[in-house]
Amino acid sequence: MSKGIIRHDFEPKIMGFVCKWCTYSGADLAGTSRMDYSPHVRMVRLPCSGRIDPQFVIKAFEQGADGVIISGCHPGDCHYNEGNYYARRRNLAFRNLMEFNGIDTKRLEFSWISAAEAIKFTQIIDKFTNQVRELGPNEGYRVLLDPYASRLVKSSEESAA
Amino acid sequence: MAKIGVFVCQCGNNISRTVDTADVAKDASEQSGVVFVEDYKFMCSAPGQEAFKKAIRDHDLDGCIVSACSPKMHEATFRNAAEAAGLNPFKVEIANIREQCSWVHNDKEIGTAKSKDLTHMMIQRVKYNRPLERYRMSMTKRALILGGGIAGIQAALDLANAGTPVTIVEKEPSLGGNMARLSETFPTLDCSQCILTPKMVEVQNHPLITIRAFAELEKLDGYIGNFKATIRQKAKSVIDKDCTGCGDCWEKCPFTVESEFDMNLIKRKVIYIPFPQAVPTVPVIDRANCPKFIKDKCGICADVCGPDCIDFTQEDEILEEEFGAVIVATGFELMPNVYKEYGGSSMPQHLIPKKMNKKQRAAQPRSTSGRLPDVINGLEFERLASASGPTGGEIRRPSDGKKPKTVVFIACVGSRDANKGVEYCSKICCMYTAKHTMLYNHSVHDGKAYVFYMDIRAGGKGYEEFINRAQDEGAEYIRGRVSALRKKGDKILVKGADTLQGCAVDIEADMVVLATAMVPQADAIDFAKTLGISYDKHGFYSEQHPKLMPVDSSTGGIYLAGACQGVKDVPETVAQASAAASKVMQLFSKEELMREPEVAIVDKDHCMNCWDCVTVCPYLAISPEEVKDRDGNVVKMVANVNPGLCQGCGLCNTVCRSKSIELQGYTDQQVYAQITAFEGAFV
Amino acid sequence: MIEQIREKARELLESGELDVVIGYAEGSDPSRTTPIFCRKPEDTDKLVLDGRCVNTLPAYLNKRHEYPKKGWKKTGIIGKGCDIRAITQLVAENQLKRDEVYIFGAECEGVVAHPEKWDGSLHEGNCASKCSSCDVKIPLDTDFYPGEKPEVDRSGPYLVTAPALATLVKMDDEDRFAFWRDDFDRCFKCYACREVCPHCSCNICITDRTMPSWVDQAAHTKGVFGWHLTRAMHLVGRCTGCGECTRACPVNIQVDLFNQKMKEVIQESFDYKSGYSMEVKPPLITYNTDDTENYIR
Ligand SMILES: Cc1cc2nc3c(=O)[nH]c(=O)nc-3n(C[C@H](O)[C@H](O)[C@H](O)COP(=O)(O)OP(=O)(O)OC[C@H]3O[C@@H](n4cnc5c(N)ncnc54)[C@H](O)[C@@H]3O)c2cc1C
Ligand code: SF4
Ligand code: SF4
Ligand code: SF4
Ligand code: SF4
Ligand code: SF4
Repeated sequence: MSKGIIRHDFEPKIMGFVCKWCTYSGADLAGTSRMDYSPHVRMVRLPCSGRIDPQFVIKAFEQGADGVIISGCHPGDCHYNEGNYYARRRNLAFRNLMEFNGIDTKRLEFSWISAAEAIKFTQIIDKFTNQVRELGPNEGYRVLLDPYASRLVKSSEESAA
Repeated sequence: MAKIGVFVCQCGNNISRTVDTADVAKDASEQSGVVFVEDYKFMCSAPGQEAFKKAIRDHDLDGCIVSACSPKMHEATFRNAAEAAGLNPFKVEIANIREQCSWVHNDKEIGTAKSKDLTHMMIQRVKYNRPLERYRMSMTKRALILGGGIAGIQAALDLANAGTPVTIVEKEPSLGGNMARLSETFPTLDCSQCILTPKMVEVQNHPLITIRAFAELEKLDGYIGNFKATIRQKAKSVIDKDCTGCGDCWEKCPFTVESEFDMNLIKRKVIYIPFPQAVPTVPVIDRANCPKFIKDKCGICADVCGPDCIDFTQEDEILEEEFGAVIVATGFELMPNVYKEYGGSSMPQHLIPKKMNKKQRAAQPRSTSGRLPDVINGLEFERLASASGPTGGEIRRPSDGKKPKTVVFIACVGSRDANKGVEYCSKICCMYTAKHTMLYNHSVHDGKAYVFYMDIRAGGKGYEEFINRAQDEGAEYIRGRVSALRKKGDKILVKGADTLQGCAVDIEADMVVLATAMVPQADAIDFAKTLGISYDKHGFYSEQHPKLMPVDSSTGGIYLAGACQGVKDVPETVAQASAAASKVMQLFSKEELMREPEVAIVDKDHCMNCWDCVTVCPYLAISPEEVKDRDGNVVKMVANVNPGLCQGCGLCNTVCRSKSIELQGYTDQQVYAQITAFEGAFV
Repeated sequence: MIEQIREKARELLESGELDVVIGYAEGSDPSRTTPIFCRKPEDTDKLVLDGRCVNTLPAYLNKRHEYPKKGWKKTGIIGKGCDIRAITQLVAENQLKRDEVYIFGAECEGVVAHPEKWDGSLHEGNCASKCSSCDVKIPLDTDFYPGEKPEVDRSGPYLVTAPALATLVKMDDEDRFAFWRDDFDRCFKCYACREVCPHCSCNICITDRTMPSWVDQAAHTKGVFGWHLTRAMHLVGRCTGCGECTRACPVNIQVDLFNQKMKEVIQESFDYKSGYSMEVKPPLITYNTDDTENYIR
């Protein structure tokens, strides 16, 4: 049944936030060129890497993502001239914050991928997917996922028994 | 409750080969809010679109997802179709299951799972898509051209001949720019004045062109289609409309100062036109040097003026005018000689303070003649060679008027020198130096021209041939640098090296011509800030895209032409000017301006006027706005977005901590919905 | 010192130049002081200023408290060096106009970490950790300063002083995550840390927004992680290090460790210290084209 793709015990869930001018177009180019890459990433298309709010990343982790990938235009190439420069600073701060919080920064990937860099796009996706697969599930956060809900489930199971 | 339709496209078998589209559609139908699903062979085909429209009408859909190819391909198609069927186009979203799924994964199970996920995310998102209306804005179909060099002239003529009213603002008293200074032009050696002057006259006589010479742009407000320019018409002390250009005043004026147009090689009157063919032919009084203004003496010009149009009390006039588009054509200047070894000031370019006071500026070497006589730059040579120049076209050296028998030309002075000059190649110097050797040889038949060069760069139509011709006509090209210039009697000792022969070369020259680098106008960066356009590290104005949008500036409605955007010769300048003009025509060809509604809006109840958004907005689209109570008292300030300027980058949305400003079409709520719909199911 | 301030405050209230002077007065027990709003000249007799004055009074100046709405045109405020830093930052962020406030400053000996630790005097054992590396003991921007104000070199980097920080950074990710998880388990989202912060001055906090609710409303640990990441991110390059968030927390979570850590990062990466200039833009709303990073592929 499986054609070419090996199924692993653990398959990471990855969310992507990308700029529509560069990375999203690079991904389209990978498609037009029929390049094959890991299927785990779900991308949200945004106007600029400067529109990517750390809030998105936090929410993605809360939502059960094992990894998050952010990507925009190379410095100097921003469609809006300067959005990626702000993104670069913001994410530098945010990574440090995540690290201080004890979330492995290997789960957050940041890259510059132009609309022409379909190969780079697939390489980054593959590499990151493998990296997150090796890290395993984002246990820390998964345990946090709605403890109350799980408590409720538990107690209703108990009362049913 | 939402009524969402999901349309899954098989794209022939492009999608259905690796995605079970029927399963994706069935799964979508189970999502809350989805009332209609369709699994179809070619959604973008005419019947596909008809089915799409029919479903919208029949099921009164208030949101649609098309799971198909990239939004780049058919987002517009489906949005238009939706509009035709009565649904707001911005309620249609595309789930990209072809380029980003079926074409890149070959496992059907996995492809199907991913397509479902991508579709879910879009279903959740579209629930929060607001119906948006495109902004329709009226335009002022008049163009403003800044700079009256050949670039500005060409753009003005192209536009006016196409029926667009144009205003040219030129800071000098006459149009013409640097091209007016040139004697003859490469690669054909036709006389610059002869090709330029007719164009200047055409500009002057064109009913649709207004010339504002001796004027400057103070401020530019507004946005594409609707700019408001504040122009300062400097006091000419001459009443334009009455002046006939007879010249009696400048004939009779007894006082003279150095002529800027003639590179200070000769004197001009205090009431003057820069050169005889000036357009307009209205003189101006140089108040800083006129004794009437300094100590209330003289006034002869007023006495001799027939039509009585000298007005010593005239004041600068501030004009506010509206335009729909702006073409920036402010040109270039030559880099000052900063090379001590060539007799210049030793101050390296990058150490020269950006903001100089008058005294510092005056101390900057504009030409080199100060320290070493007869070491001149290219433009000075152009004037010496020009038939209308200070020597009437005979090449005589500035110090004593002798015909120089030996002239050394040094190429790449300042160019390709990241330390003291500029890193780039000025591109025109190889050509004009070759031209200069020819002009020299034509004028001084027994003279000898030497050229020290680094490389010869002559990529252009007829350019290489032109260089060959220069060499055939006797110019001696020496590959190597000159290490120093020294005064030796009334000659200049040129100490150079010939790197091909591997030996030192000393030449005793009567005159030395430096091909100094072409740099932006000294005030280029300040001017860019006035306009709100971006510039590179040298001060050349940046184009929107280096390859595909070479005449658009970073700001909508402002276009670039000529040497202000980068080093150029005349043919390139003219080509770019015509391109810029055609961009403006394109803009003006529409009835109204349509602006995408994906712009930021402010939650005025909660904005706390921190101005973070104002600071980050790359387009200066946000400005403080007063909120008043019923009695008209200002109660607070909030951010306000000008939808005409906003380009929809969303930076403001990200920096606003309390989320009091959001980018429509990419709101937090929409992204949130997408994130929370994310399952990441592998199969 | 305080006498001179009292005298000046009285004088300015009498003359009507100031409508109010915010300062400290004796508190409910001898180990505490409490904020006081002196409206009448005689109120100034109650003013005190010593190591017990922990509150960061500029929090009252931020927009959320809207004191100017009471019709006060000019507010006097007594500030320690670190408080004045907060005022500077508020001005820089357009939350306050410099000429709306009159700043009384005085040399600061440091303050106690928590009033509970006050034993009659200030010493190494009970002094707040922020005070040990403080470079604004002689305050920066004052309108009134008793005596001559000496010049101080403040060019040094920001130094992180909280002892817990040193141990935390040495831990591996998992332990650090566990540390915070255990701490955050106690947080019940009272938002005292937000209320007390001079820079959490939003008219509506992102946590109070519901469409969407980026920060989970419920006080379960997941939502608390979200809250603290959000809060810390919002204060990057803006926190002026008063430490009030930690002091205010009823369940003893060292909230300001995040802020301290970020101050260090910002200082190292962008050479920025908040609260020292009204003109320099905070680091996240500006950029350099040649900013360096080591994380982008
Ligand atoms: C020595 C030399 C020789 C050359 N020889 C040749 C040649 O033989 N053949 C060839 O093809 N090219 C030649 N060139 C290149 C040619 O001069 C330029 O390509 C051309 O002049 C560029 O035209 P422009 O209109 O862009 O700029 P400019 O000619 O510089 O015109 C700019 C105009 O804008 C005005 N201006 C500037 N700032 C403002 C402002 N803020 N507000 C209003 N007005 C403003 C200026 O006063 C000026 O009139 C030569 C250049 C040099 C230096
Ligand atoms: S960033 Fe937000 S709060 Fe600040 S001015 Fe802009 S909209 Fe208002
Ligand atoms: S979306 Fe971008 S361009 Fe529009 S107002 Fe916000 S920052 Fe400015
Ligand atoms: S946490 Fe953020 S949104 Fe909330 S008040 Fe503080 S700065 Fe404003
Ligand atoms: S975050 Fe904490 S330490 Fe920083 S200014 Fe706010 S209350 Fe003070
Ligand atoms: S003060 Fe403490 S308990 Fe209250 S929200 Fe802040 S960290 Fe949580």
